Amino acid sequence: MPRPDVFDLMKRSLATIAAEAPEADAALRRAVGALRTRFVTEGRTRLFHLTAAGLALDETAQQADVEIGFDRAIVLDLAEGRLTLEDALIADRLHAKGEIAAVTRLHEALMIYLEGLLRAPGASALYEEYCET
Amino acid sequence: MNAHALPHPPLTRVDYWRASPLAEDLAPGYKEWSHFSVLAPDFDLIFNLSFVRDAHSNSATARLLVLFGDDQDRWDGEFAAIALKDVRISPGSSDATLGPASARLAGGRYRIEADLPKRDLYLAFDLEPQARALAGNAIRLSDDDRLNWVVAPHLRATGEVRSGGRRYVAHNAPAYHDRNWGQFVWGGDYTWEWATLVPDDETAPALVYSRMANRARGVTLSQSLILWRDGRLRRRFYGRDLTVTSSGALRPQQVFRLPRFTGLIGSGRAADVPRHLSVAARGYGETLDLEIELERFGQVVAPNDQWPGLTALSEAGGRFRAEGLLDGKPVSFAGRVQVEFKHAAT
Repeated sequence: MPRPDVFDLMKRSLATIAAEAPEADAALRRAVGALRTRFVTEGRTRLFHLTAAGLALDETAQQADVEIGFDRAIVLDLAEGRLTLEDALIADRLHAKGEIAAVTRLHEALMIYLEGLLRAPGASALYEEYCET
Repeated sequence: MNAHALPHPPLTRVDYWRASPLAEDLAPGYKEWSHFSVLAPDFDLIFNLSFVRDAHSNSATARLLVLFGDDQDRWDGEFAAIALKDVRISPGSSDATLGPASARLAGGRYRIEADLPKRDLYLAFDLEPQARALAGNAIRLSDDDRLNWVVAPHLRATGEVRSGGRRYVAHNAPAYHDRNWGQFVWGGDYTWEWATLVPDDETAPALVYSRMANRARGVTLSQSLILWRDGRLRRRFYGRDLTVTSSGALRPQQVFRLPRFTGLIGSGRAADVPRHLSVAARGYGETLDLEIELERFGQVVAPNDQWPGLTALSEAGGRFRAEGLLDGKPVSFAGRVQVEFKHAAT
């Protein structure tokens, strides 16, 4: 079985939010809209965007409105409350590139995503699985 | 306030689960929990087993809460959903098991346990009631929200917590237990402050202070201070019997929040938790003045019943000192205090 990476965690947690917290899912879709976000982590890149089928991650090298760079350690530090977003950005452990408006929109989407995680009982098991690998 | 308190019932007759999370007919907004606090000299522990009816289905979500903070402001804990297949709650019974945690009442004593190896967190306590329980029914929180409670205001706890490779032992430490249930929504037009005050000297009085207010906290719906002495309910001060003032603010470098990722939501330090509370009670020819000094707090964040929004429960620990005149005689005693501030988070 392949090790679940952060993209796998994102895809499965988004599916869980859609199933268990539909209002958060709808708000997330509204917030993301046509925003295209490129995630760069540990040598891999994925483009996160909204399609007719929903939120999708793909490997195509399309243009992005925002690029976010991070590693697994920072995902765990943020999720465990050991680090704030502000401190992560200041310490240059989290990189965000793009127009201010696009970055702000992505931050708004992140807040909705986090509230969706809180509302979806199945999300914590996904995170535990990610931590264990 | 529409309270109908029932004095001094035996624990087994009042402290039991009113509903099951597996019931299919739970009313919208139904919530129930069994809560324990251990207020040791060098740490505070909250242990809470709960379930809430989900807003969008007939099913419920059960959650385990363990919140631990020591006198060096070191925090640990877990607030996680527990799959219903791992939940054992039977209406009419005081006992509950939620995954790795359990609470039982047997022989007039409570036993709480939790083993969370992934967090390197373990606890086990025996808690012995020192005062008779009190029940309050249909406490009005707002036009739509009602809360019921049973309070066991004074217990002594013996046991241990193992957290992050450290071991914390308590022997005969001050402790508290309550049970709450009813139909009330997180995000409703209400807030509360709920303080449990347990004396260092187990023969001294124990107290519970509560204040319910509207969401903006400009209108007090009810406030009370209840005093137990020699194991019995001794005095209740209500409404205008009480003058309450607060001052200062606790501002830790970073607020410990559960679930931990909610630390990313909202600002890290703002929590509106006072450093000092004064409660002056006057009535029936008796007086009591409480000075409460809060030293630390952690937060538990839960989603509001209606999208969007979050509710934060700030759990603050500290010490109190009480002086006054009871039964025509001066009294002076001190102890540990825990105050829960239920405010809106977003």
